[in-house]
Amino acid sequence: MWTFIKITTWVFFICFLIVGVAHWIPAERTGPSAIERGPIGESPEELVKAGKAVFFGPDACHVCHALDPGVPNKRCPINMKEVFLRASSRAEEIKKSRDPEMTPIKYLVESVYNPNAYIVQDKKLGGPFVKNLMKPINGPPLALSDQQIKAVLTFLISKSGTTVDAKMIRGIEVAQAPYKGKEAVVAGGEEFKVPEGDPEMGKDVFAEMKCWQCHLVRGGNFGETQPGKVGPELTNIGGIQTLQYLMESIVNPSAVVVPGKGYSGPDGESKMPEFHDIMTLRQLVDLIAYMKTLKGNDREKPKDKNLSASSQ
Amino acid sequence: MSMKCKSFSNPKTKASFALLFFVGLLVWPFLSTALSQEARSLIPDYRPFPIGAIGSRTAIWFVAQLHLTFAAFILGVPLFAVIIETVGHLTKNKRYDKLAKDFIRLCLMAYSITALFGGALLFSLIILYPKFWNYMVQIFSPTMYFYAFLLLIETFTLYIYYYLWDFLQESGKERNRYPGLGEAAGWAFVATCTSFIIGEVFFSRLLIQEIFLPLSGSPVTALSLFLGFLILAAAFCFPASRKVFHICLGTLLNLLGTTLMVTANLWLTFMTSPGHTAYNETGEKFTQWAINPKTGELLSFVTTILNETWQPINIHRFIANVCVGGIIAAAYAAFRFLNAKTQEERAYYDWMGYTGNFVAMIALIPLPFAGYYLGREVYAWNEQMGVNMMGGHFSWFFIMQAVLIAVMFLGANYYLWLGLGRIPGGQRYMKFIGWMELLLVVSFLVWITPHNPVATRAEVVEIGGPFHPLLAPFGVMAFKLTVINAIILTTFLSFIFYRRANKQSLVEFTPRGKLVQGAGIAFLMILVLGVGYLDFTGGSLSPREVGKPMDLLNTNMLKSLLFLTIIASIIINYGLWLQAKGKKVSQQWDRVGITFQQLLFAFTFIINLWLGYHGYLSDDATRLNDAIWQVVWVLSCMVLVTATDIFCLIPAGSIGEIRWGEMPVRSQYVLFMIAVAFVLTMSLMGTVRSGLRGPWHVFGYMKDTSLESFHPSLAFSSQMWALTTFVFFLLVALIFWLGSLGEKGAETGKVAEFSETGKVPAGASSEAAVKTGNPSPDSAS
Repeated sequence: MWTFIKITTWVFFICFLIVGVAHWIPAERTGPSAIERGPIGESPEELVKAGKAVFFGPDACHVCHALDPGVPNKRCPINMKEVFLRASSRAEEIKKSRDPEMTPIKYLVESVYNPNAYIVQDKKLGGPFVKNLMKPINGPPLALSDQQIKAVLTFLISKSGTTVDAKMIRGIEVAQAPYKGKEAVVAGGEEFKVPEGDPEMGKDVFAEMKCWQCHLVRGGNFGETQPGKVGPELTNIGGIQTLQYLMESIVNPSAVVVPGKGYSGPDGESKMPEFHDIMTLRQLVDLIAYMKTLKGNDREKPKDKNLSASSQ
Repeated sequence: MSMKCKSFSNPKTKASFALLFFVGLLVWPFLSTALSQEARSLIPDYRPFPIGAIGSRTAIWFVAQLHLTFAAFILGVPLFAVIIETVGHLTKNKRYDKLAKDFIRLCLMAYSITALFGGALLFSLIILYPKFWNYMVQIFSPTMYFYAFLLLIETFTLYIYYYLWDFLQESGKERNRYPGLGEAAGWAFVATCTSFIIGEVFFSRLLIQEIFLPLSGSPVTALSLFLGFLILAAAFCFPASRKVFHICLGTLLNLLGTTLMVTANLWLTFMTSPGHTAYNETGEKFTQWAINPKTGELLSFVTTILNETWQPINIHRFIANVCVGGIIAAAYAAFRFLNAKTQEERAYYDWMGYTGNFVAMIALIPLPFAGYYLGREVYAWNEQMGVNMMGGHFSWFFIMQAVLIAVMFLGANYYLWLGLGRIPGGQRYMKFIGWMELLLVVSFLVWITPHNPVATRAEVVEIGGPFHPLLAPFGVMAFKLTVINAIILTTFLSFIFYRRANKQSLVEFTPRGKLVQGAGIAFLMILVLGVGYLDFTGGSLSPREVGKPMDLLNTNMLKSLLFLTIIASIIINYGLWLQAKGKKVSQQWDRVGITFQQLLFAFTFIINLWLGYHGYLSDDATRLNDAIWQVVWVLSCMVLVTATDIFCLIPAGSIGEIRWGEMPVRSQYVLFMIAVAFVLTMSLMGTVRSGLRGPWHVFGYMKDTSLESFHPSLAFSSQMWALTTFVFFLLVALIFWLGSLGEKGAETGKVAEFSETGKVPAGASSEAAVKTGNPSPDSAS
């Protein structure tokens, strides 16, 4: 019994020691605050307050973005205090080159809904930033609501010294409109909802259009003469490509051509013929629905995945 | 009436009643809540825990952690118990057989309480998180049937394995016309099951993709063939060798247990990563979701299985289970050692504790590498999740983990050093302990140094940034990996000293050939630094130049060096083998072997440091490459040095037998310390793994909208780790005590048998031990 007491005391002592060390380190419990959970008001003051709560929320913006002057920058080399000023200068550049309707607010809104929209190339700022490191903040892991995003942006604008008024908030709402209630943008692509097609009919289209003459589909039974060497193999295409990508590849084959595989002609354009005059929209939709079912191998990863995975 | 009283006085009946009482006690709060909620027709999202001060989340945390710790124990113990049994059978040494049976007895006792906490976890999920659990059932119900079925089979297999242990000993009366064939069939059974275990843990994705999916058209045929083969092999084996048949049962038990584990892992990893990353033809990374993240609709069940973190969790848990099994068994032995009344008992439990600790340490060494793999997959799945893990809320949790790992390795080394004191000849290596201790302490200081220290804003401004100008480099992974490799190598060196302690080798490990060895080490250093200088920098050592990515030439250089080292090892080991067989090829072979070991150690330390330094200055891709080569060299060093050691020591005489039972009392407390540190680490990393999901039940689809959705603070988490660990050890003590009530008589016999079969003169002088002329009991090492 005495041994039991001694050992129990020893076990307790070790546990106690660890608890003591853990208490010595000043880490706080983090969780959504009452402000984040509850409805957010529309006044600038309420939005700024809620935005601050979200910014410093659990595993939220502050993990990568510094905000206060004197606090050195973290993963993102731009201090968020200056972000609105930077957005203004960047918006001016984009206005001249790409989008005449660009405004600083629109720039900010697009940058949080689609962080890959404007990758900073300036090496003095530590760019180019790693693509995909920041996820759209309306998607996981943060998955902020549109109202919360509005609050964060209001808060950031206020931190830059600019007075936030109702007009500015309205500007944010207008810029948010294309994204509201929609899924997060993935990998820099733009969302396009493809209608549902009939895969069985699509298979017939595949045979009828003689796609199999250039594209190999293992187990597709499209005839003995299927060479499938001119274009890429499609046996697993449904497992690795989105519907949008498949549709684009048929409608505009030269949009993305994998180099070095002989898929393009001397002019750099895809060798794939146009089907604009011979394929109906129904056939197109069915065809990509069929292609989406092609999942010969569910998991395809390139050999250099390790590098990509660890690059963060 | 008297019969009833009599039956209740049976210790086993008492134990059963006590367990039932515990079941009732734990399950009652959940059931009572369920009954009170029965009237509701609509399933709510959440239900409150009856005791508001505790809350649903903390209740689930407590129950899940205890279930997992016990499960790790009962899954880990059979893994090495069957190996020990096999060693005992092959070496005809009964002591190992007894030890293996003892380990399984512990497992049997812990089995019920594991199921109990599993049931409590299930109840609490159903009651407290009904919407979430309902969704999980929708997705995984087929695997849940499979799980329940397997659990049933596993339970029966465990009972058969344990209760038929004595019946299935070799009786010498086996009648079989072809005994060799029968035994071969048994070993084929073992090999098949082992391959399957390795496959489902280490190559989970490959197994699914390359074997199960192609078989999808004929699963019944494939399963029938597999089971048919196993039954046939077992049927052939039984009449030929009962013992091999028993080993088959043990392997089957492990196969079932491991399959259960990977099935349960599937559910929890799905919650973190319901899909995996993939790349399209243009090399662009995208997320292949198993479910529609908007609606939760299942898109591909195969993708749920192939989710990003499933395979790394399988590997990590499998290795950790062996570790837990070993160290808890060692702690049990330590308890019995401290309670022992006779020298024989102390000798037996000293040996049992040493073996348990040895198993745990062997498993502990690859565990950090498995952890890095898991971390890499977390980053691959979602970079922000990775950032939160290592740089966000959980970064300080990892510093705590570093402290606990430091405790484990220091404890393991200290235990081995104390063990040298009971081995005649061990004193020869005592002089190195100070240096090894210094190396360990320095490595640990680097290991626990955070990248950015705890500091107020004023202090941060004063330092000039969140990172300390001098200490910050020690906080990054390049240096962390370097020092953990150094710690592992030092622990390995301690083990090599322990192994050689009572061996009278022709050449001592240290005093001989110092000049040759010194020259060799100097040459090696010049070689490494010179080649490294030219290859890595192209003529400059400035950090900017060094930072260029490692090209093919450098990788080839490391490959070539490794290849040459392996060739040298084979030649040296062949020479040592010839010498051991009495063929006097040269009297210098021992010296060559030991010099090779020393050079390899020195080179591995140097290349480890160099690659760490290089990785620190390089980009991410190069750093990863460097890290891989660090690991490759450390593991290669351990394998090659062990191989050479085995051959070197074949002809070595014994200075004296190990005096089992003569360990200082504090050594047993060290075993407890390692065990407690390990269980605390499990709880800690469980918190991180679960917390990685953030505010999600199922990442990307189902948010945790309960009021208890929070990241616990480090302080609160540590209280939970301490509580679950303390309760775990209390329950372990309780069930071991209950289990031992009826076995006091058997205990005496077992210890006596250890003394007889091992003929270890427990507590006897080394001279007396030499006179017995028996093999060393530490041959398990």
